[in-house]
Amino acid sequence: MKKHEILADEKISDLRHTTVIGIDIGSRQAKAILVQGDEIYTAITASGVDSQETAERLIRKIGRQTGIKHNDIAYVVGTGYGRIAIDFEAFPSEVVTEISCHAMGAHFLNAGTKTIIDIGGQDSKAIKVDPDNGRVVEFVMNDKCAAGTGRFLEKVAELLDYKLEELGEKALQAEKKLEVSSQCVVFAESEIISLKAKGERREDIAAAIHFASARRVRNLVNRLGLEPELVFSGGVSNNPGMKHALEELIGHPIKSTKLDMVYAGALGAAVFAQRYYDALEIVAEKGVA
Amino acid sequence: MLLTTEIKPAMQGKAFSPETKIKTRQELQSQLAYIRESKKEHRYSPAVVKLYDLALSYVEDAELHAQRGGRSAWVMGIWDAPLMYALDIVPISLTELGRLGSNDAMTVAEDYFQLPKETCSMVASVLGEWYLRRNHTVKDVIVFNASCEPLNIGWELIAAEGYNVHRIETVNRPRDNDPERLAQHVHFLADELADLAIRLTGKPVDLERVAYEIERTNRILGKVRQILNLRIDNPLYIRSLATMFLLMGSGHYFGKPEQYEAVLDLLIEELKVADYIASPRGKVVPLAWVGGRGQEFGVYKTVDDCGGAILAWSTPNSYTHDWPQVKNPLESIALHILGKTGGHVIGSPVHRFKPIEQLIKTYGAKGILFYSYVGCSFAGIHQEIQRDHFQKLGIRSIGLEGSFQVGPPSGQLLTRVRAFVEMLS
Repeated sequence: MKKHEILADEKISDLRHTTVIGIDIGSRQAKAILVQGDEIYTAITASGVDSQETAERLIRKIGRQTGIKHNDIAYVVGTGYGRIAIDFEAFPSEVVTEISCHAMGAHFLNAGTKTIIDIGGQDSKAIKVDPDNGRVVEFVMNDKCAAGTGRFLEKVAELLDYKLEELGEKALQAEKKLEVSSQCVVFAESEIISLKAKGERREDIAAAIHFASARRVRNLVNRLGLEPELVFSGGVSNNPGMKHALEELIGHPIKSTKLDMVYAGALGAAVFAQRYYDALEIVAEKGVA
Repeated sequence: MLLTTEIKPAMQGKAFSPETKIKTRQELQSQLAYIRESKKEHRYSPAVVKLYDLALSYVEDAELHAQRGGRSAWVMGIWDAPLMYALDIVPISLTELGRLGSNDAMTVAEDYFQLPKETCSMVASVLGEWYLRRNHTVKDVIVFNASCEPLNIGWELIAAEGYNVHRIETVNRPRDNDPERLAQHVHFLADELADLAIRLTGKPVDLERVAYEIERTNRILGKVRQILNLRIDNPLYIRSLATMFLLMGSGHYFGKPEQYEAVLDLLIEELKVADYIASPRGKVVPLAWVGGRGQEFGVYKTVDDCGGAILAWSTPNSYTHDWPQVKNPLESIALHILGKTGGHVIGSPVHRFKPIEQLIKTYGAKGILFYSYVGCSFAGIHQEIQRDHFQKLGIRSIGLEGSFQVGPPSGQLLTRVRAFVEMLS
């Protein structure tokens, strides 16, 4: 993809032509963004047990698309759950939290972003962003409970005998509003079984689960105070059922972007990689090192 | 295995030290491992090395002291030092159990004491550790009944295991602007302390000794303040974890008052002439710590490693003011505990607003790390009340909830800390 096809117009010139990689190792999926010249490449894979091995697999995968060699890579930034284990000898690297990276990635995709909802495999976050520079202003995390996270939705899909990819679409086909009171993975399971036993439609149950999960996320957004424009990032962001539930509960539309928001963290990491590389260059030019 | 990412000299600017490395794999497996690593990192400072030696030998030496015919007692580690030393009793702070104990403590709490999993992790791990030590530690436990209700239940449980629990009655929050009522509370608490002395030793406490010990406390607090003020200009010379130990020591002197004070003197001399220790990130973000004395030591390490430094501290070990010195030294202790000298050891979180505001101003803190223990509903509410207050003042903060027991910190807790420092950088 060309930069101008996916980045916000006002951010295109901020991402220079240096070859950098952002790697976002989430709890379920690992994503990478390579910026090379005017092009942006993406890669995605399941997160393995070994984060370093997963990161190297992503680099190999992206290398097959582009033909780049290790020597071509100027800088790598790792982020996400597995970032702490990333360490490369072949090129300079650094780690930045996924909170900063999602903010920066969302800013580069939609420069007016002020609030982000990020739902990943194991936690959910609301992040306030400074639209002038993409920096985090405030954030709040729910990492105490798996409700609403990707892992939770995987379990729900399994119980309803849906594929994970179709769960959100099915939720949009609901005809009846059901209540799911528990938002705990363990207890929600028994509620789902109970609703199935009562003969409720699977689509209605799916919708109820999405709304129950979205209510928790709404509480995070309320804590920060919603400021438009609102974007939705993380692995669950391409679930239309969750997007619908969030928009309805929060009462505000979620802004679309030209890149799948699953990659927002990796893109932000690539932006930071560019900046770290620039800092190296500046200091090297001044001869301080 | 601890992996490190070496940051190229060019990234550091003029302050770069060739030995500087940023640790990217932060989770060591126990509090002891963090202490040992921090001790190694401070090898340039004989004072900090000695401080850690005092911390590492503290509980064991105090227990040994008792086995050899001396007297030691478990205490809260906040206000106890002057009275305990005046009674020739070595105070052992119960908070040390969380970091220097064993990782079996929580299992004991859940399986033997049948505590629910949701119980405050401090209460559970302290009870579990006391159970595990029941055959070889000292049996006297001196506590406030105003601490919290779960701990009050805990005192009953350990009493049933053969510990001698000495409770001190006091109010939780004296009324504001009511000097007469405060005087009643002060008299009552001073009487309680006098009774405690008789219960422990069979005779009244020597009030001159208490006055002498309060003088020592004030001298020590003066030195702690001097160190924290010197640290403003060189924050990473004593990193955050070591500073927390320094502060905790002011509540019990690690059982060795002269040695602890000598460490403070040495540290002051070192700081006066020390070379500046650069942050791996160049600029340092000055921060305030408010709440419990965190047990998840990875938090302190993460703060330092990613460009922060905790300069202002509002923990149970208050250091900003001297203890009052009135005619009856037991009333001096009572006045300190009841918070009339800026200590505010107990009571409502609203008492802490002004002292924290002052700390932030003094140390130039850009943000506040609020810390409470998992499952502690009291501290959780304190935290929210205080965060709300400081948010209205435009001071950014983050709420952290950490476990008390031995073990590695949670990755998500470290993510929050790192993101907070990144946000303020």
